[in-house]
Amino acid sequence: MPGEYRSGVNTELLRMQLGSKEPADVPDKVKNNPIPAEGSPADVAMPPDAIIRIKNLKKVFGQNTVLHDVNFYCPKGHVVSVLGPSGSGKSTMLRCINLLETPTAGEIWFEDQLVNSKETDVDALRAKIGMVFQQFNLFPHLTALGNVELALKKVRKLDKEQAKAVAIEQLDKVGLLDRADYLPAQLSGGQAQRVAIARALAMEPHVMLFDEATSALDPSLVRDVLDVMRDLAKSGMTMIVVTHEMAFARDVSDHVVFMEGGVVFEQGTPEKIFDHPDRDRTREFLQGMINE
Amino acid sequence: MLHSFIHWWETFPITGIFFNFSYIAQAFKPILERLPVSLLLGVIGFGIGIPGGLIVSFMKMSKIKPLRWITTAYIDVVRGTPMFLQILIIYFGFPFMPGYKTILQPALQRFVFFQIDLTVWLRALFIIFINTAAYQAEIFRAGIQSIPKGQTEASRSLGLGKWQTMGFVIIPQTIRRILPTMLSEFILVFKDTSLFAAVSVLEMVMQAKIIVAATFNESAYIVTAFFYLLITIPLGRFVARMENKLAEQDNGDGGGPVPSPREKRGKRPPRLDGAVVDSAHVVSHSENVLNSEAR
Repeated sequence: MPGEYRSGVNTELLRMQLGSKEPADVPDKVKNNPIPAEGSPADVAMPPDAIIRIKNLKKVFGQNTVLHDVNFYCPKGHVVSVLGPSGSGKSTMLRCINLLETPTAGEIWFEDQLVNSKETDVDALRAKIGMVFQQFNLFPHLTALGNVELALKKVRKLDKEQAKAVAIEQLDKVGLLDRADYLPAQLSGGQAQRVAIARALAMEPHVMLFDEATSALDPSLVRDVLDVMRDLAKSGMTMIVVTHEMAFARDVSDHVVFMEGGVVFEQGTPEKIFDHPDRDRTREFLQGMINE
Repeated sequence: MLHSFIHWWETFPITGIFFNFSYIAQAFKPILERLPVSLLLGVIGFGIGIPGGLIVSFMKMSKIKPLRWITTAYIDVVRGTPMFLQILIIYFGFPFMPGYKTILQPALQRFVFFQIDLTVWLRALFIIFINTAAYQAEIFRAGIQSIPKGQTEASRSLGLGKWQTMGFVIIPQTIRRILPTMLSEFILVFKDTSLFAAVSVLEMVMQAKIIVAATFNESAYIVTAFFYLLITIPLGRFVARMENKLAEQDNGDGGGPVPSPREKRGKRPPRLDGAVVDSAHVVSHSENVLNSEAR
């Protein structure tokens, strides 16, 4: 059964990645696949106190269904790592949480608030959800300090001195106090990403989303950023981390979600996903990543 | 000796007609007195065009379709017709507007600046505004759209609103990129004020026409050209320097200057890695390539 299953999934993935000629039948095929207990929506009981709860999330871009049916949750203070090949919908899923993408169907709950409802105050929601991007996206016309201060002044409405004090505290936390007056162009990639993390943390978010935060960095600069993320996890921050850093996912996270082709393929504790996953495709992917 | 040289110079057909010392000296002062008129038309017209262009560019990028249609039609009409014609239509059409002859004209006619009454100033500035706002709108739009999408996303993800993001993140970055193009636009507006001579607005070219008609000598036009160059050459050099500086800082993220909507749409010169981009350099490079291929 596993072997037979594997070949079936592979052709299907290929079709999805290359763009199927009949996109309409792809969701059915995914649905018809036997999904093991761990990943099936019915068996993901959602504790109502989990800070992020994603139920039956679906996202369609034109003809292209990127997310078919995503279910998982993240309790307060936990770190959830989201793994999977590129094109599996990890980033889209993450961007749905703070409404950078609008979900097509399903529910995303943040604390006691339905995120994808018409009544959502988008700006207020985003102020409580920090996000770190693959490309840093620092504001190039502002110094490191200015980047951190901007939202403090304009969103949290702190006065000049307060904003500066908070910004300096955050830059100090990521070890970049001496770079406060540098422009983003004068920072290395690793430093820029740490400033971006400080910028998000300064808003005192309830959750931090990391969208492949280290993928655009030189290998030598990855460690500094991961160290900051490790410290953050230790401090009890709730984090959802889309990453290709397997060691990080294994050591730091409480829960690992493996996505493939727009569905949660398998999820569970890091020990389970890394050491004895239920599905061959998960093992295959992880082995490929670790050997790399 | 000098006397006979001057006599030869002033009677020789070319130098005598275009560069006649005595006519130049005679025309210098009256034309200099008209320089403020040309400059004021250019500076004020361009200045009021900035908020106008900004509003038009926002309308053109709006989600509301009718707003986009109106602005597209407006920009097409302005860019697709000669400014000379726009001057004729609006300058002579304006007085037919309801309320002009009964209210506006009696109220404004009494105020005269540089021997030009306020109704004329108003009509001329309105024409420049209509014209340059359309071009500036395209510059603003190109500038705003050249800012990477990640900037908006980062700003919005921090909780800044749509207009806060525009005002504190996008526009400040846009200004740097559009500055050279905007200065080029100003130079064009300044030169185009000369077209108002067609409707007898007494700016530099009109003054020159009057002098030439009275003296049958072209030297007054040369004096006028000198005053235009006095403004445009330093500004043009400044623009070129800014463009080079921006191109140097361009790391391939599209951070270079925004192309002017008045230029023909076409491929920009190829970038040479590590080299300062100036057109002479690019031409010589491509010539080398062609030569080596020919061999």
